[in-house]
Amino acid sequence: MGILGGLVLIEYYTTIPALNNLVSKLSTMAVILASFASVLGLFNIYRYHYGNIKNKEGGLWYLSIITVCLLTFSILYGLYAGIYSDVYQWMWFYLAAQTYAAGLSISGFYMITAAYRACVARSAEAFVLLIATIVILFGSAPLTMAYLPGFKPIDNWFLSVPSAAAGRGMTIGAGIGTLALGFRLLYGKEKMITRVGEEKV
Amino acid sequence: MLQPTRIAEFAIMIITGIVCAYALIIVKRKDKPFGDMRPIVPMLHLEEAIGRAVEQGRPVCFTHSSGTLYTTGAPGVAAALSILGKISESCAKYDAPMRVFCKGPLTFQVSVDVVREAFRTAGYPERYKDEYVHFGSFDYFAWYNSVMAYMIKYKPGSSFLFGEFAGAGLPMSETGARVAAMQIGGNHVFFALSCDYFTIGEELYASGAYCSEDPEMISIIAAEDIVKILSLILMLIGIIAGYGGFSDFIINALMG
Repeated sequence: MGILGGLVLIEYYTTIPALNNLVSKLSTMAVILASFASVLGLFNIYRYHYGNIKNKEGGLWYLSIITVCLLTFSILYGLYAGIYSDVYQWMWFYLAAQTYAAGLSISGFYMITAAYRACVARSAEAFVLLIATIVILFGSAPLTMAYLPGFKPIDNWFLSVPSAAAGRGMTIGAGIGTLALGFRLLYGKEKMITRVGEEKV
Repeated sequence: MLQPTRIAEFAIMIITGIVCAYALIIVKRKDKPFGDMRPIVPMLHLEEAIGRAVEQGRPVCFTHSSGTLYTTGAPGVAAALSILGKISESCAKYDAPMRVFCKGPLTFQVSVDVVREAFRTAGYPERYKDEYVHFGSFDYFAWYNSVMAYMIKYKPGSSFLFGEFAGAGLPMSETGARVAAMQIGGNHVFFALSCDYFTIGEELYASGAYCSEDPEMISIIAAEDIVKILSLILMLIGIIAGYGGFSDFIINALMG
């Protein structure tokens, strides 16, 4: 694993044709393996819902029936008529897309509850956060921007100086952390993951 | 031979690799050559969260974000898998029912192996059940709605959210807060609002090493700190060069 990872890493930085070809082949193999994993995932979905239906899992088994029927129908109909057929397109635009929109719209309500929680000043740090939030809110909201233009420069300063400085520090730290984690995996020292399959005495 | 636009990245990568290798060699020769690692507070409360779920008779919920093992979110997912190993060991020890929600099929297969192995390592392989690791969906919305639906229906006593979260981080952590689950998360800005404990920046990537208490893994965290000090020195040189007006000279010297 380490050798293959190292080869892919070196290929990213170099222009050696033989290495480029090898990594291209490895990528194709990874795609094929991922496809097999997708089939396993599909099998797992069926197994999970079959278990729910068989055990009459409280309040879930009828949802499992709907899921299994929809999944089976979409697979069989997609194979028969193609994914651009009218029925398949209808399922996408009038079922899936609408469900996505509903799911996304919930986020708005969650943002309000989270913002409310952020604005409760329980400690000195939370009070500072509250002040910064009010300033940024006043500097960004259309109504306050129109009537209180003095907040805009303070808002800009907050976003471009302390916020950007903290953000960049975290980004650099996370970048170096990612590199170290990568090397830990490459050297085979990430034991919580790589211990899988090890023999125990 | 080297990609001309990636020389600086390559140099940083090589330096980090050498420093990590040096740390691994040093740790074999001396006992605790870099001292003790500072505690990562959220990791100190993993067992407490699982214990709370057990006391309440509620399950433990874990998700490693929408990232996969072959996209840009891979480091976060790898770190989350490492933490999953530790959480699974504790769940095995306390016989806590758990549910791991996976988005990618590859993540699912790796999670199954990590959880099964953790149960075996803890000495309770018979306590592992197939339904503990669940393939939510490859679709982003379906996956995060399935996690939220599970939280609402089964009201987990503790919820762990680790990985590279995007928009789903807020709805998931808010749902956990709504069902009064003890939540530990990382890395998403909104976790500061909804979670009881959360990791910041590189803490997530160091958490696996911290949980393992393995000297070799911890030595690479020390190597990470050495690279950070080198980066700070580089930044200071850059600032001095920028204010001193000789930054062009350094750039020309480095780029040839």
